[in-house]
Amino acid sequence: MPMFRPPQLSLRVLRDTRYVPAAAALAANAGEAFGFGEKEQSYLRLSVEDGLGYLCAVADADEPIEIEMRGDVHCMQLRFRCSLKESNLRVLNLTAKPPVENGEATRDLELFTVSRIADRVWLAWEPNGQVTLSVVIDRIYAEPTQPLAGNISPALDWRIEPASPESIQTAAAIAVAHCTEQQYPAFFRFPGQAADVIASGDWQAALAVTSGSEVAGVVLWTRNNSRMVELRGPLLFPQSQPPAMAAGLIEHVIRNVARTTAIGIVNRSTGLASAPAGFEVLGTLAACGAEASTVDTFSFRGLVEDAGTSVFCHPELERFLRHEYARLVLPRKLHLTARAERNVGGSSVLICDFRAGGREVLLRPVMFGPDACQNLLEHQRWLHERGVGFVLVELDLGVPWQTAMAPILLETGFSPRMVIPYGGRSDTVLFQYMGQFQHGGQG
Amino acid sequence: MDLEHLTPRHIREIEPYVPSRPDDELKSMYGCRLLHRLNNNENPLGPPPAAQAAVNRFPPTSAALYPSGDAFHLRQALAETLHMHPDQFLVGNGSCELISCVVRAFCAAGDNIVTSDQTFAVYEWVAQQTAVERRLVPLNEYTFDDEAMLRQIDARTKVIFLCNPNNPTGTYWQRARVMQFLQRVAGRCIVVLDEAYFEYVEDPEYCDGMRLLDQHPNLIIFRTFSKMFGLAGLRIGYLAGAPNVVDVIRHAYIVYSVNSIAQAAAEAALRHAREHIEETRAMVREGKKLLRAGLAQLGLQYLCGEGSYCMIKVPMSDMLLYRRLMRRGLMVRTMTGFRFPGWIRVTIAGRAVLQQFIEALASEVAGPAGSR
Repeated sequence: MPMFRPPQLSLRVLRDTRYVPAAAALAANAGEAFGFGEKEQSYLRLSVEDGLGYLCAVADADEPIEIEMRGDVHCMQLRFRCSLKESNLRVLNLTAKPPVENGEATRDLELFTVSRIADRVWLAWEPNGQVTLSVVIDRIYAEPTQPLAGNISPALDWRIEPASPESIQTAAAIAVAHCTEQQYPAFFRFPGQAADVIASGDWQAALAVTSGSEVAGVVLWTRNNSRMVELRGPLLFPQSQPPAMAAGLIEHVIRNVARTTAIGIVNRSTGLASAPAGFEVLGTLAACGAEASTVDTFSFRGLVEDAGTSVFCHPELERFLRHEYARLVLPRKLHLTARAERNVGGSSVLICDFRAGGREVLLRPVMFGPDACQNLLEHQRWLHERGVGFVLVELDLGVPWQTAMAPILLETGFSPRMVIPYGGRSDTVLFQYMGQFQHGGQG
Repeated sequence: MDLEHLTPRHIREIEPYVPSRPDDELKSMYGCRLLHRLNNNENPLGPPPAAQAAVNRFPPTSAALYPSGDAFHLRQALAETLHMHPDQFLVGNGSCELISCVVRAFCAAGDNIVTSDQTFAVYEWVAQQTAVERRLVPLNEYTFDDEAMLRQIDARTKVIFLCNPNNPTGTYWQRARVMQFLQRVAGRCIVVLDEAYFEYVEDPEYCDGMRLLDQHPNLIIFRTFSKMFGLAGLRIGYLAGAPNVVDVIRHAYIVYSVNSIAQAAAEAALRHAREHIEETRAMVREGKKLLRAGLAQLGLQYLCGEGSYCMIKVPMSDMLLYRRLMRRGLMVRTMTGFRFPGWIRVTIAGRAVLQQFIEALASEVAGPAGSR
């Protein structure tokens, strides 16, 4: 299957609000040219209009603002890159209220609007001090996947083959009938989205097909950052299919990624206390709330020989890390630090990534600030009120200022659950909220 | 600077090879006092004494002088030893450099090379670096699949790479099979026979590619001084072929890339290596016997063909086993990168080290199942 090359448009704009309408018009046309519907086009236009409007107020005057728009098959990606003269981006927090003072909207309203229009937002700081604000607008799919139950008999003979945009729709329909919503990726809920995600190359998939041409298993994988592969599955239909089928699907993935830039594969076995063969158990997520009977196991499969690396470590996390590194036989040098270097004067920002049909949220700190503890408590409460049972936080041990979050997490009821090798700039630590709901917020 | 714009896509998509760290650093990271390198198929006996003497004789002041740009004396020695003309040889900074020369000499955009998906990775990498299509044919029974490779040849196929014996499986084609393959290729493209482990092979039916050069002008033979001759640290290898073919490769050849010490050591090794080869072969023979017995006792599947290595299927992640063995001061090569997930490759070493390896392996594979 030829790789999809997404069309791109980019422009550099002076920090001057007079150019905002021109950029917004270009965005509207780009959305149409990318083949998206009117609704998505308007989201892109609004995102560019408000995003650029906001940045014109806060960006460094001496440098232009770069805007890049990319039309993937299943989503549009918008990126702003510039240097900021101020960096209080607190409205990116999901808990932030519309910024209004004395009945008047403040200039932060534009950034607030962008973050609420987008399906996903991300903020990254580059070594040269520039910031990249990334916005993703998903294609809207109307027709949900119709479950395809059927009786697939245990297979004696099967072949593993790459999934096509067509065959993945069949796999999605079978998965929706046979599996829980947490087990399959969210894009399986819409056949068109499943096909588009595979066509775009963002995810790849392989199927186990029986001699009777029935889809009896599926495995999916994607690169969630430049170095790690995220593996979903294998899902077998029914689960009682021979274990060799699951092993064959996983081996297919490993052989596909073995000579790429990937250095490891991370798998989450939903509802299972075990990991696929050949994977190392990183840890489990304890169940909470109404779903106390379930446990998810995270596991890792290295693709290259581990030559060791260094990580930043807050003293309060040292015991946990040393224990985990010894258990996993991972050679690491720990640099103890308790300093929070970045943006101490501004507000902290946590980016939310909702998963498993909204049952779970992963929080990632992108800015630190003196309000970090308060901000975390507000997020906890906000999520609790909306019935989100699983709250996770991921800290990147390659980013020194993130280590300052460790004691705050421990104080607020989070517990470190596992180390994910090379999950970020270096290893990451996944925390899960294990405490009781705390009334610490004010807003 | 927009690096993404400046860098061609095919370069961006290449996995940069990350060599293992120096031994002192690895020992410090893994907390081991000694480190036995069983990962790179280096010769644990070192270079032949004559080569060691050549290194010792090298006058330090001569480091100021450029080496012979085309390894003149070494090519003379090769010609004398192998009864060919000096112009039939090109000497390179390890055979990796020569692989690159061959691909650059014969392939342009739109051309392709054919090789296996489970062999020495450099053929594939060089093709990728030069934006040449790679046609990777799966091994059949761990051996290069001649029929499937022949089916991949088309008008844009320029080079076929055969690793004989294959690294890492140790399987090989005998003379009759190589000759039949060459006949069926019928000069449509260059065939490279990589004989990096030639000197280890003891099967009398094994194919000595040098003897086929007269009948097959499209054939190129690669050999190296890194393995049997123990000169891996000096980086030196050579290719041989028909004079007109070698002339073409010379267009893409990098002169002065092989240093003077390497040239002198290689020449000495070539002229005075008989005893060294016999000693090494005896060590490998004994080591394989020991290893086979140990692995059979552990009930582990293995491939221990020709060459100075053995490939073992392990009941856990090869990467995890690597780390655990490193902690015990034993460095093996994981095979996931060779598309053999769950296998390791072990260099055949002396009895004491191999015994230590077998004991360590036994202890690790008998470890807690939950951590596999």
